[in-house]
Amino acid sequence: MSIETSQSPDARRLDEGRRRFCQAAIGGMAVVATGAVAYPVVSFLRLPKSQRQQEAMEIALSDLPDGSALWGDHMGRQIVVINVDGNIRAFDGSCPHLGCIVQWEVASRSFLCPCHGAIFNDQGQPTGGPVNAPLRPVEFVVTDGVLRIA
Amino acid sequence: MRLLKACYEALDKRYHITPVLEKNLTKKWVPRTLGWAACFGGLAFLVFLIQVFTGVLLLIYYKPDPGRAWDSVTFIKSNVPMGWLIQRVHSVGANLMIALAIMHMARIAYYKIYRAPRELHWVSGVILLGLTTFLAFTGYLLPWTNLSYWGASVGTEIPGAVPVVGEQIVTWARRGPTISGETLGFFFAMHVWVLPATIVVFLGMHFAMIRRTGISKPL
Repeated sequence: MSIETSQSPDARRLDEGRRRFCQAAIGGMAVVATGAVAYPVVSFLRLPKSQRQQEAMEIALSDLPDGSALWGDHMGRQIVVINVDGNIRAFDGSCPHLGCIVQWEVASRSFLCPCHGAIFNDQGQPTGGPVNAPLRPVEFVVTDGVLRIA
Repeated sequence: MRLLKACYEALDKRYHITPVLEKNLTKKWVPRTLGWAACFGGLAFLVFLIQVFTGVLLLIYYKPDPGRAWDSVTFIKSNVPMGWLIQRVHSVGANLMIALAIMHMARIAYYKIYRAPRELHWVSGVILLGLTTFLAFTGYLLPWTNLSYWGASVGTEIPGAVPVVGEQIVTWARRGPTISGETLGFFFAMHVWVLPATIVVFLGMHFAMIRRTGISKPL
């Protein structure tokens, strides 16, 4: 099946021009259509708002009884908040030795790093293991019983 | 562009792709009397592909757990960039797929295309419509809203009318006496894997049969 084309050179040039125009139009529409599909899909695969821009970390002090500890995620850091006899302290939970997340030992009221056995007291000062640097304290404010790390 | 062309030519030289494409796609002529109504089946398949694609995207965030299902869908709709669009395309697509399948069947029925030698095309098509309906029904429960809860309650009640084994079917479909977290997990498994995979098998048969007999030529 073939389409009869006129044989005069002028008509053939016109045909060629039309064909190029149609090809460009179809190509352009294909690009627009691809973009219209790709944009939402690529957007969807980006990190959602709540995981991208960290909001302030908040902890209700009523959830933190004496001797306990709470962990939270703030700006990509693991924050640990402890309550020792009513004194609230917050630390960056990663061990200054090699960056493991320390555990809170309720019985001895100290931090223990599970990787290499570093021990810190409830002030964050090292008391044993392969470290000589303290846990980094984190600043916070308490308003109406809610602890807030900005 | 030139690189793509060179790649294609290298492949074509080795595997002779052009004749395959010409035979099946670019030089495959359809009867000139065939109108736009002949597109419904193909469009239903296109929507199925869109459903698979958007469904996989939704799976990234969806959590099939009664405590978290609704939250996760809300999270998709309000926090995930363009999540509202993907979720809406998936839910509208479900309706569209059923509508297109029925329009496809209406045309086949009206023009009596189901007659010999195409009887099994029709049978596989009816099975595909049933599978599509189940797919939509199981998907309806997943957002875990009041509407979907009662939709699933009423829907799973229907086989209760079957004599003798009716109640057993209801309990089996609900994974218990009422709609619960167990139902959600069951419907989820059906919706994301069992039913789509079965549909793909029947679509394969449907298409293979059409290729063997050719499409029906209108007068």
